Amino acid sequence: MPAGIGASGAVGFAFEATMGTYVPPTVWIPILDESLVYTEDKYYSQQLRQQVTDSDVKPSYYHVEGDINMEADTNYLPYLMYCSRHTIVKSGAGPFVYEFTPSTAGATSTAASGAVQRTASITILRNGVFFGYTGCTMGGYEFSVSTDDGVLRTTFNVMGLGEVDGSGTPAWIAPELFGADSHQVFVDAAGTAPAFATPSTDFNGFTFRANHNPEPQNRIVNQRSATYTKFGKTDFEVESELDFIDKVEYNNFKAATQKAFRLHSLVGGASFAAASDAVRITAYRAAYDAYDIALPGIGDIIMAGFTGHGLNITGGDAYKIEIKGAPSIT
Amino acid sequence: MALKISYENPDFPKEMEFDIGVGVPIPNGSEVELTEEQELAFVARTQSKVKDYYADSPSVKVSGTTELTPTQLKDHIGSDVNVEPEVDEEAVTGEPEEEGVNE
Repeated sequence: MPAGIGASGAVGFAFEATMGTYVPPTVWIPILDESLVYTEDKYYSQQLRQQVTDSDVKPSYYHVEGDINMEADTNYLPYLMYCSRHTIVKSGAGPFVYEFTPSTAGATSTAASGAVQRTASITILRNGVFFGYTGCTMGGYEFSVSTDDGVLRTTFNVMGLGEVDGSGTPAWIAPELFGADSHQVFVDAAGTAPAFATPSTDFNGFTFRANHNPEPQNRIVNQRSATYTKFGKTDFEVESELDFIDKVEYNNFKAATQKAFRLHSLVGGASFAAASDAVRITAYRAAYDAYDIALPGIGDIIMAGFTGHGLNITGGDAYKIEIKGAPSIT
Repeated sequence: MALKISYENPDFPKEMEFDIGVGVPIPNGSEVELTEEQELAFVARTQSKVKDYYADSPSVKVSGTTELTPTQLKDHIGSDVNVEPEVDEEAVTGEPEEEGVNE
């Protein structure tokens, strides 16, 4: 077999009915790149035997972790989001709407069916060789769009329990991407149901990221793969850069006044309800962690760069990720 | 009878087209018949017979008989792959010819 290139690769996905038990792919997800790796700290013996170097090696506990980078496509996003720390609500009759809001689950779990948190088997084909990663959860993710090309992208931070030999036969759907004409950004006062009446025209990008701070857990059982993944505190934030017009938001930053932010990306309709494919991400309460303004070069636009630190909100959800698309997950 | 391939994924709408690498998209829940050219291109690309390639797939079902000759298979598949002809169970065998009798 000669050397291969990424073009021949494939990533497959399947929900697990039993956490950590491999399932061949039922959906194949077109990605831009991935970095899932078998992660282990081997034990090296430092016996005293009149030698100055390590004496032996013993395989130790291991898990899987890495990132999957892809263009946002609603044919696949719901599958990945099911495998994260969220409460899930499914509605609609085609296209279907999936709402993901933070849950307090302390660890990964799965089920044979239902709108509940799951784990996944992720299969990766690299130069004709299959790798199967089991017990996978999305420990963190990022949704991002910039005016470089206007395409909505996502990065999923995968954490898995183990690795096996994978298998599968890829099958592909035509791409359905969110391009430059799909997006709008809204800012409003923090609240459980902001009006988001008027889209902003000042942003040159938008990033929402969340991190559930996952950690693999090993237990005294006769296996080296992780037993489950625990979740920690969820950190989430909004990051962007916009044209600096006045000091209103800068003063909000200094006063810790909270705001709500929304990005919606639509295809096939002018509203979330009318669209055939849509992603809508709302942070209901965030405080500016940073709001940087500086004079650039002689011909450059004066921009404000900010990071909004996400907070929970009484009587509502800290954030909501809504995905509308064709697949019906059962 | 040529090979027929069907694809079924219950998560996606009927008639959504899937590319499974046979040279023609297959609507979800439907079946397509491969031409000899499509089958030959598949064999050349995958180094495998179509039925063998999808033998374990839960979504793809293959029926019918290959239109490729053993020679075509052997020319396009690596030497370590079995290219024995598939038994056509529906074929009608003729009566053996009578041997000549030496007088």
